[in-house]
Amino acid sequence: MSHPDTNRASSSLLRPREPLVGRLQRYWRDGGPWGWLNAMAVSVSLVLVLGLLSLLVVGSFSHFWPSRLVEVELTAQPGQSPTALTTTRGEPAADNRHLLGELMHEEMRRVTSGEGDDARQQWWLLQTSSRDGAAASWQWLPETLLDRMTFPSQALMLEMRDGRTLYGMPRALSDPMTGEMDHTPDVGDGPVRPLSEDAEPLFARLKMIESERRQLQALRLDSEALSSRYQALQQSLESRRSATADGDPARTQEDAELEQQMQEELEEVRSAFIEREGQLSALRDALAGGQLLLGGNGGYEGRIALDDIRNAWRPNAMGFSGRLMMTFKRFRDFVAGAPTEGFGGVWPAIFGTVLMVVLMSIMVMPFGVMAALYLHEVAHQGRLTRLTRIALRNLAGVPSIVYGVFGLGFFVYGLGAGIDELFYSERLPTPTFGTGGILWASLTLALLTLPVVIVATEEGLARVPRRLREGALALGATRLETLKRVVIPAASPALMTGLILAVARAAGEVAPLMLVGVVKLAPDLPLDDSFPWLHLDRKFMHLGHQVYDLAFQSSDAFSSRPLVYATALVLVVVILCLNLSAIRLRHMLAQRYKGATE
Amino acid sequence: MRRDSEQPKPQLFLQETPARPAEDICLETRHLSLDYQARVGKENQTRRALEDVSLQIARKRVTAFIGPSGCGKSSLLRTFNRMTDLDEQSRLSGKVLLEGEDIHARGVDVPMLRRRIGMVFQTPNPFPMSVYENVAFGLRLVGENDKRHLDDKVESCLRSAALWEEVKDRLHDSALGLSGGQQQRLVIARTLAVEPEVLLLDEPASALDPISTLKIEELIRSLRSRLTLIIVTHNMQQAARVSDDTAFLHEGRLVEFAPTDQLFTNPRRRQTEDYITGRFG
Repeated sequence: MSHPDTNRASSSLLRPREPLVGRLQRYWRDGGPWGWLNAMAVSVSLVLVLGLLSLLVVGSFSHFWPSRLVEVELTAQPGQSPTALTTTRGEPAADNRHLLGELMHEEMRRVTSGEGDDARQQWWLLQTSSRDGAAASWQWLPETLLDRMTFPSQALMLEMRDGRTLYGMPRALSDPMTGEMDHTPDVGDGPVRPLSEDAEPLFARLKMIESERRQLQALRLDSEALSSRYQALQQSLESRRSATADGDPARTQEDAELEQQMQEELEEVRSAFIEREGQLSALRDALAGGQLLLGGNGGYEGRIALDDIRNAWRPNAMGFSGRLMMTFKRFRDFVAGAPTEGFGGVWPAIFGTVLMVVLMSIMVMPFGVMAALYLHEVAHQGRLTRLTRIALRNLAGVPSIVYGVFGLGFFVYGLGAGIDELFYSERLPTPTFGTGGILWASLTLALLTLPVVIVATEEGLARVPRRLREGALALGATRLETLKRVVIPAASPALMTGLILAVARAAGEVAPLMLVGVVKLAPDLPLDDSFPWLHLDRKFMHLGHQVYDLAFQSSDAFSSRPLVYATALVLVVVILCLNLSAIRLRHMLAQRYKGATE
Repeated sequence: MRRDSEQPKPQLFLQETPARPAEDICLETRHLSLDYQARVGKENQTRRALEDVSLQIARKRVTAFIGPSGCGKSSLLRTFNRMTDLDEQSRLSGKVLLEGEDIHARGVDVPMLRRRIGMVFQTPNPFPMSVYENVAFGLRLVGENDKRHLDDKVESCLRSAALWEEVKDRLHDSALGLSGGQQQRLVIARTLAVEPEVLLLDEPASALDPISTLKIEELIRSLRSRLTLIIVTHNMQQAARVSDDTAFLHEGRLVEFAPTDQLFTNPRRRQTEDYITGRFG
């Protein structure tokens, strides 16, 4: 006897067991494989993106991470002096058996000897003091040439203010306060401290120099302020004197007293100024006096002004945390530093990139939004508007170099030359605006991103529901008021989407910029404290162009490669920051007008 | 519907509409017809939404338009504040007179007209701003920015719309956080703020729950003393509950227009009777 409920349970929703083929068929029909395929596409993209980022991070931090300094001893081969160990002047080096440098790379090479049998040989790449007269920068050394490798803990790595890197053994430090170090190579003489065992005094002295430089800067500002105050006081005193000249009946006792006071104050300022100047010159002397005697390759010893050293490291003596600190300090110097003849920092390039994107946004947003408003709200919807839309979408696909050519031809040679003739004719034939500059670069990019902004804005406007417009119109708003107070605010998140797309596209462009104002080295930022502050005619540096330049135009491949990674990493981070701020703005607007476009 | 069109077209008898002295008439239509272009497949076809509608709407009364879907009652309402202007393809003939003035004449100040004839739509459409700013919207449009005056006006309008007690503590929160019924009452308050003479309500309660509908109906009755109300509804009970006069439209024509009691208890036309007894529509 069965209960009705149990009857129902027997005819349950579960399917009867099927053969494997049927199950597979149903799996296929249900779209199981498609789900996996889509998941695969997503994972491949993710892996690619993460791989790119980790390549950039590893590639750049391997440059900033200090590698150990190695001293190699070369085998003395009779009758053969390694050619690498001559000086740049071609003289044979005094000691041609010891080399100190950074071990950059090692590889196995196949060497064919005379009899035709192959042998594998290990080669090392050693970076020695770069751009130093004493030795060449790069040494490929085969194992047959090496006798011994040691890692001296006192070996110094010096980063100079001019961008050079020097390697060497500290030999002696001159006493800063007594001035000159004597010029004989013999170290024992004069006010010189030998440093063979311990370089601590050097680091202490460098720390002192750092604070002295800060002091110097403060003093300089102080004395400049005093000098301008002195001039102002003098001027007011003189004008007062000429106004109430001697013998003038208007000249009273009080006037004379006031003048006396002013005169005294003037004297005070003057003496303070002289005192500052005295301190300044003493500090300058102290800074210039310190010298380090560095034992370099080939048995040479060089004197280095301590003031020229930016950073000094002893990589072989550092622990893990020390190395980490050093990595971060070097990375900070790279990001915040100014460019030098060698490879310096990329701060002006970061600044140029951001400023250009900001200027581009300021130019493209009003234009794009107005164009979209016309197309969507004002124009009669017919064949012509449809054609315009098609043209705009195609314009978004035009290669960027074409925009660069247009920018060069129209903005630089056309508009720029015209502006020069009208307003800067006294400077001709030196062009002011008639050559590439940040204004033309931003304008070119604004043109490039205009279609993106228009399309995104139009889509946003189309999503504002009709009932909102009707609500405003029914309250007696005109069409303009409806747009201004209801439609544009409700569409503002879409406007921000347009801005995000524009920024993402503009920040990564390099090709058109090379034609309209980006240069490899521009020490003057386009924004500074001299009137009119924003110098739209200046050429500027750009991270993307730096990457290109380091990758293709550098003669020093081994030292520029990690910098390519580092610069690219900075570029990616900058674009990410720009995008994140735009996304944040959009999120805020979307929160505010939430539900308006549903 | 198809069966119905085989019957002879009802004739329009103007004398059937309640006879009133001219000074009581607020809004009047004379031989109003409305055509609009509709795209059917690849061809443009002309559809007639209203045909030869003439009626007179009395001041400070509630007039309801009823009729089956697509009968033109909403189109008729939209001609009263020239919302039909928004459709580029529509063409209108005949006249709509507000206090004797033709509102479709050249040179009419349309924003001004829309301030005199307010409108509330089917779906609540508060602006994505605060409750306060929604009510102040119409006042700011005419340049009113005095804080004290705005505060007073916002409060009195929200009180008139029976919403003040519910929102007085969240005047500066987004209006989109209110419930559907509250939103619709907010829209009514927003419309009242510009002090219209006529208030058009296009199925104001069709998107709302029964309790909110009740509140809207109470509100309509309470507003009757202040202004002329015209309500479009497909709900005959609602029309019977709130209106003084009722017009029945069918296929773009005005079939019958009479005081509500009379139309529902003793309709003169068979079509009206069929509709209100639920035989079609």
